[in-house]
Amino acid sequence: MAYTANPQAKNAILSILLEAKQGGVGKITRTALIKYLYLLDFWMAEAAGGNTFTGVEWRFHHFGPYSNALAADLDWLSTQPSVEKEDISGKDKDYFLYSLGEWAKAQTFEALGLPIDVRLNLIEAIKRYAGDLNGLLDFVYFKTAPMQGATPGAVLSFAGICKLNFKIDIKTIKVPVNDAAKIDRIKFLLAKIGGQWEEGHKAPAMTHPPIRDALFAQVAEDEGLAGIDGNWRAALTFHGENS
Amino acid sequence: MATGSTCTVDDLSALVGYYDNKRKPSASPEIGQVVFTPVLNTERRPYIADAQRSDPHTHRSADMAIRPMDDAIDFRKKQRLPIAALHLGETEELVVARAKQRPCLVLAKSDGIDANTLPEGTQRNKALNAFGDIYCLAPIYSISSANKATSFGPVMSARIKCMMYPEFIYVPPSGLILKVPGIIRLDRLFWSHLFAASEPQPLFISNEILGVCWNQLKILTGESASGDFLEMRDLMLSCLPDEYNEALSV
Repeated sequence: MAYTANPQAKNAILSILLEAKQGGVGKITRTALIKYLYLLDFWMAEAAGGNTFTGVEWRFHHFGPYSNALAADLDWLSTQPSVEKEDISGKDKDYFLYSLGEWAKAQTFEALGLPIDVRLNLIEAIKRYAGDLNGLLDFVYFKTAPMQGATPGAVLSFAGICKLNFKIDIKTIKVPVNDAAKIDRIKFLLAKIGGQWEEGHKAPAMTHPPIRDALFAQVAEDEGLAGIDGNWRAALTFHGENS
Repeated sequence: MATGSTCTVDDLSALVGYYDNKRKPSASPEIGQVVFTPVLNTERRPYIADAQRSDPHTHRSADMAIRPMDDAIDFRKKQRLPIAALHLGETEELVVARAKQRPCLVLAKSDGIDANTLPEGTQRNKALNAFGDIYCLAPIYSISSANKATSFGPVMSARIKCMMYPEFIYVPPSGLILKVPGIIRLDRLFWSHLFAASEPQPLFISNEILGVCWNQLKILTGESASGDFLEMRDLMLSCLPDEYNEALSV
């Protein structure tokens, strides 16, 4: 039976390539494309209680998230007219660039049914990380929840991922005080605690001068240190001498 | 602010003067001053850079494999060719740690010991770089903001504002130096010479907050805090709405 790509994965790949084309980013590398697919799944899981868009399995492969299923879908798609694959053989390394085929029937993110937050995040990421693969990898590796604490080879979990809620997770909780007596008492006690600290910490940090014993005297005399400014922190008294 | 019998404050933090705008920096950092310096991440299981000579015939290059610390292997005698450039002893390891430059509060300082006061020879040579000026620092971590969610979310921050936890002290933004509210972490105290990547700031914590730090440190060491501190803490905790109170929410 002939191979066919997972429809969700196919749509996602084509939509990302469409956004890259329409946004003026142009062709994108295989690594970047796979990472954008991961981000799509990550942001979708945030918005949909842990359910990803493509439904594929992601693993911590080498240094970051990778999906064998999506890689296979991409390979298959690039044999079809809908995706153009360009083999770049450079001096230092070889890589592939992907773009949307002229006759591809790609859908926008909106037509795919992505929530507005997910759409905006993806569009922003595709623009921001155009030509900045290191920045993209840095974000994917270190700032996405499934990668936190993941071990190499392990399946990445999207379960329990939830979106930041400004009102609950960010907004400062104020602690109002309506009792005049309480306010006055807190102020009084704070001032007292501050005063006690100041009183107890008036001396310089080193309140106990070094011991100036016979050994010290001998060294000081041998080295002629007695006259060096800043060497003496206390009155010069020698202990343990017979005189 | 307080105005007779109808007085009210919007937030408890308005009652506290967190910063001392009268103090000026001197030549070296002082107790109460804020400095920026690298703070190591505290990992539950640190990473080791496992170094081996890349070529048994040379000291000049080494291969390093970064791996979690292994209790069965690390810090024990092992068969490893010495690598001159690393000065790595038989039972020593290279620990790899992430670090970030953070604001820190200077809580204590030691002026060091002048090595010239020691007998000439081995004792002095060994002491030459061993006892320089050194500072005890409490790093300040940001609380959650619109830019970044941190471990200190709104509920934790409200509790800390009320001094619920002896290892944490809340500080509001100061302006350009501390741009967002932060938490002074007494559970991450460390000592540093402040030599590398360190910048003392013209910002000082008030005596009141230093007094709070001191009392909370006493609690952490098992000593009783002052009666004044305990009374103030109880008053502050009584202001915390019940739904955010740890003891009442469980």
